Amino acid sequence: MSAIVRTTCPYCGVGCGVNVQTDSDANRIQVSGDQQHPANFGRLCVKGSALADTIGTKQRLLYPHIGEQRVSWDLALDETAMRMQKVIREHGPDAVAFYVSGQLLTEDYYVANKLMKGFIGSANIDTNSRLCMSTAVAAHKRVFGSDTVPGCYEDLELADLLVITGSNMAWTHPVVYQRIAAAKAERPSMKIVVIDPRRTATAELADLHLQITPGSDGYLFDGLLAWLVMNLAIDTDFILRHTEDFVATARSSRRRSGDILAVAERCGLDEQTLRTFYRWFADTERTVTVFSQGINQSASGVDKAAAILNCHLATGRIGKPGATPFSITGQPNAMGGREVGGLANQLAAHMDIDNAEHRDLVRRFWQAPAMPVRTGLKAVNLFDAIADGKVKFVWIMATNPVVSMPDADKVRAALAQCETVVVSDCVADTDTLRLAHIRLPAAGWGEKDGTVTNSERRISRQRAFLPLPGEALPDWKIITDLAHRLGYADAFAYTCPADIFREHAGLSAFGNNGSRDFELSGLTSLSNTDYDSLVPVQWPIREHSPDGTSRFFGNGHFFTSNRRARFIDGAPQAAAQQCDANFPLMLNSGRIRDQWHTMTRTARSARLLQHISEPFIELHELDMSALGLNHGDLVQVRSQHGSCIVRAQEQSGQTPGTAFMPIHWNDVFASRARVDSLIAPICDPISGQPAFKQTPVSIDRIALRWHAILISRESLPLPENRYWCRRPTDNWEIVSLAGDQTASAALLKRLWHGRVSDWAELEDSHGHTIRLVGYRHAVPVCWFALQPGPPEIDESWLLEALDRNDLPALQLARGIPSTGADCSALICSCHQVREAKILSAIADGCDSVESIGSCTRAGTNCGSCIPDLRRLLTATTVPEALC
Amino acid sequence: MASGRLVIIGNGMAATRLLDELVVRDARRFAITVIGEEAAAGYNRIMLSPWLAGEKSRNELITHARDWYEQHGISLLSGDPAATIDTDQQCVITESGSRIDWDQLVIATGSRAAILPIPGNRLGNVLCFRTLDDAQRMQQFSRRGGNAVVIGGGLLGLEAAYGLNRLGMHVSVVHNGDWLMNRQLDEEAGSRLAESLRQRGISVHVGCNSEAFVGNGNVEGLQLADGTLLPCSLAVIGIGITPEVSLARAAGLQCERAIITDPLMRTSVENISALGECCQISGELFGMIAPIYQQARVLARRLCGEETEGYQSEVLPTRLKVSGIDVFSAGNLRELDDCRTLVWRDPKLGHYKRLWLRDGRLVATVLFGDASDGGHYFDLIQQAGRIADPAALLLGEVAA
Repeated sequence: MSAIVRTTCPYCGVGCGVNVQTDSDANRIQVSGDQQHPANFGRLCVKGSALADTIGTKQRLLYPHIGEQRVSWDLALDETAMRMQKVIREHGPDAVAFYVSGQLLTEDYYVANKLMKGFIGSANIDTNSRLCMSTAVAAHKRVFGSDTVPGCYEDLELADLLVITGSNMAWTHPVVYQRIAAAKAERPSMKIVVIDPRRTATAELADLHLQITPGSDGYLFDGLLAWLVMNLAIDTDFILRHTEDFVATARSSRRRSGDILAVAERCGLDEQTLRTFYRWFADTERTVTVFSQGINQSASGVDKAAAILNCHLATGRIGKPGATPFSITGQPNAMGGREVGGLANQLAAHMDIDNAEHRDLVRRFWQAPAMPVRTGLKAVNLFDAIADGKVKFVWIMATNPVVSMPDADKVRAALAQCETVVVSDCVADTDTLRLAHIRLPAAGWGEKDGTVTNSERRISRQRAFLPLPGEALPDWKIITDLAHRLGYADAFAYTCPADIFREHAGLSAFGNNGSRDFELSGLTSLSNTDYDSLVPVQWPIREHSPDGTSRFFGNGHFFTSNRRARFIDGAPQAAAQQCDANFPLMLNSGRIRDQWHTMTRTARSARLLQHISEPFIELHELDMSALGLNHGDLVQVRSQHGSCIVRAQEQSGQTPGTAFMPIHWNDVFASRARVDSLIAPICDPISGQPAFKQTPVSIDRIALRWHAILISRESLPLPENRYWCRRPTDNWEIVSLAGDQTASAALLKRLWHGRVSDWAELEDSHGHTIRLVGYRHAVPVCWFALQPGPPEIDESWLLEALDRNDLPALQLARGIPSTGADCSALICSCHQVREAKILSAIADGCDSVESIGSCTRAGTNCGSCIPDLRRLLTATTVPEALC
Repeated sequence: MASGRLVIIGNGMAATRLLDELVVRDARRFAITVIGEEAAAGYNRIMLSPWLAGEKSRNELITHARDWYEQHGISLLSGDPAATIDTDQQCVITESGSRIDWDQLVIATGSRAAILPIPGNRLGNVLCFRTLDDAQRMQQFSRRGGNAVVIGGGLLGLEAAYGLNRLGMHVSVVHNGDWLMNRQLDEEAGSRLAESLRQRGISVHVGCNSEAFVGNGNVEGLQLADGTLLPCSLAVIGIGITPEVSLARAAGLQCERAIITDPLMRTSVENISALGECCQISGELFGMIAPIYQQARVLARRLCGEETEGYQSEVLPTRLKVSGIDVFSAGNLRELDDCRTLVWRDPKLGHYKRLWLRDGRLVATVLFGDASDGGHYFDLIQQAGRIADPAALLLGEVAA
């Protein structure tokens, strides 16, 4: 094994340190948690632990393509530049757009943003962070004057009261959750309140679970502020010295939400429970409120986040050890994206487009020829503009909007008719890549070098330990090469990520003088070697704080013009859409434990798909029975915008009338399970973040004739069906199928003809059941089972048996092992009695052929085995005689 | 309750089984005399095929040696067949003229090989396959090698063919049905069986009628209806059996195809019973061993004065005992057009299994290559219960 490479995990916003050991040919790696990394101190979650399964060149995009044609990089980038220039020439710079990703490293992000905002001259670069973080950004900026996360992970451990709202962090941020669980185990007096309409895994740790009406969290926190004010549980000194607009906000809150009974009713809680929460909050100085997508993904999300910040401002609990609001991010580099200005309404380095001073500063620093004066198109508007033909060229980097955007079918339609769609990605097939005119192979995790910033502002290095596969290139390199073709070689003269990082740090320091929160002045002259060995560090990193800064605002200095934090007076609102007779159930959406985003990486790991292997909708048992559903039934879920087919599952954590679907499945892995095709493109008016969490839907069971499982070495064409869901394993692909048309073994064999040379088969004249075991050169390459109900298989046994190829096809066709089967010699053919059974009868006292016969039936028909019975009798009785 | 002198005509498997059943009850109740046609003591006729094929020794065939009879006080008269039965005098006269009186008579004369009524069937080296004697002659003859023709592609014929093949002869099987074992197998299994036999070097001719044996003194060939001449130095007729009822018929017992017997094994004449291949119960004849064993038990119980419900007719499975080719069949294969059928085929192992279901109940099965589930399927056919998951049944039972 080679030396250990220290890098960071590419999944959630926790940003865990990962130690990687590669073997000599880099085929296998070993992954472990980095004991020294301050995010995880050696811990890893299941996804992180399975990172080794996800590397390798299988299913990777390895070469540039124009259409279906593999081309050279030169040709691909010439074509990209030519098409982009043509659109700019004919329609202006706002007719081009980049849609980028929190998966990009900070350096990638920086050059993409710089190219768009300083050189192409448009602000049309938005990111999938719009879907997850933009509400927190907007709330931070409105309240603090800057997009600042005031606290750090340690605060979550130090808190005496930890309020977790809108986050199933046990599954979405498992390592932070484990840190909290460990802290609570050590200090059981620490109280945890979980606010979530679902009883999730996270709620298992809670002293109090507030199972609120979906979307009512704004009332809860507005009510909290009113209650704190009325009960004089506020920090008057902090309010007076460091904030503004308190009085007006407090008055509004009291007027709106001063009646705790009414608030409890609004939130679907009993008064006592709500009062307990309010009292705990009021009485606990060290209180941390962690918020995530449940707050952010709402049509009034900015007001909800601001309501949380209001409560912390009113109690002066901000930026103090164990006392702070804390927005936890979804993606590994959502924070890095915010730092470079990767959102359409940001400029760069936490500066704003609509601030002329900022624009001038950045222009000078970049020596930019063309700067936009208006904010660009936010994600939903961006794809609308593509649909309307206003944006004619879009470059999508490292993300899959056809799956992740709301009203996802419209997004697909928009891209399908866009003049030029360029997609750079590290995998070969995504729903979005299928619509690309130009596909560019990007480096993946383990191949890329750069930095990411986690939820607590901690910058960590992601380091490469694998060679670049095929012709893949790092994103910064691809963007830089394009910038050269556009004529900006001087401004994009980077030779390595460190060049970019130094410039990024330089911009953060440029004209800062303490006026902006984001500052890396301590890193502007980092050498390449220093960059390579950079240890995880929290920004700001200034000359006088070279080791970083854990907390902001403890001193009460904010980044507004008057340095005071602003209370935001926002009237709480119910969910933007309500259920009615046609769509009677409220659908929530979110992550599951073992998958990440649109599964492009996690689905490469068989074990990550073992936990939950198919898309589902969770329902309360009352709704299950009202709909006549059994656990596992396939149902059609409809909203005003689209429909999905997934499996219904009973989940006691749901409240009646609500449902939950995972966000991960897409057209590569399932026939029709993109939850975002159901979701309305309703956004928060300030942040532009879509409301993914509350969608009225209807559910109907679909009538099916058969259910099937196909296991094959390579992907096979599927027979006509209503539903399929595929998942790869190390050597096999497993497809779950269901259909409503009659199936026939003959048709299937024709469909798969050429891949298989011999079939062992079970054929049913009524077509109810089919089993096929297909061989090629005497090796099993295909296994298929079809029957009226879902086939039950022992998957690990079957895959192993198929790999070993040492069982007869009949046993394979069963799909489950015949454990305990007697494999001793067959003695009595007539009654199928085997030696082991006879020996046990002898051991039980049978001492003659006759008594064996009456006990086991052996030898009682034709008698041909009686000599054998005698032999067994003699063999077993002789030793006794000798005794 | 009967007692006194009990005479059994026949010393085949039905008779010896009856003796076993009597011995375990009260052997001394009767003075038993057994009149056997064949010279040997009791042997297992079913094991003639494996013996012919060299898979069993002669000793292993013998189920009841002479001293067994002596031990149990049974007198065995072998080599002096019964010639007449006198129902009035209640005695049997043997060919040598001995008179044996009885209080109870049991006729267990079994059957003879069916005769093929074509010219030349009396030529030398045209044999049947029925007795130890027949098998011994076939075994002796095979030492000379050469070509053998077996007529009959049923159970008996195929066993003879396999035995001769194992003994080194070039064997052709001629069968008038459209496929081998057409009473017990469906066409696909029959074809697979033919293919397996061909792989073993046995020629198979199905859908062929035999016209005549040709030869001068000894058989030299078999002429088929289509004109083909199959040269051979040995011909074995294995087309079935004919119940041996000449003694009974001559004695005036009521007979049709065999001796008419009630479920308690009583013939039309008082104190005379019959069992085995020579009896007929409710129009049914018997060739398989299981019902005959049942009859032996019924008869023994009645003779010993025990309660008995009488013989119960049962559907029987067929298992072809040709080593290496496991073939099993159960149920009536002639009336299955309306059935749901499930088939398993494994070309790699040459296995084939078929189930027929009517109204969700298993009614018939044919297994080829792997008959290990035959007994279980047979039980299910008997039980006639609903099969919840026929496919799982076809794929074999799996431990829960």
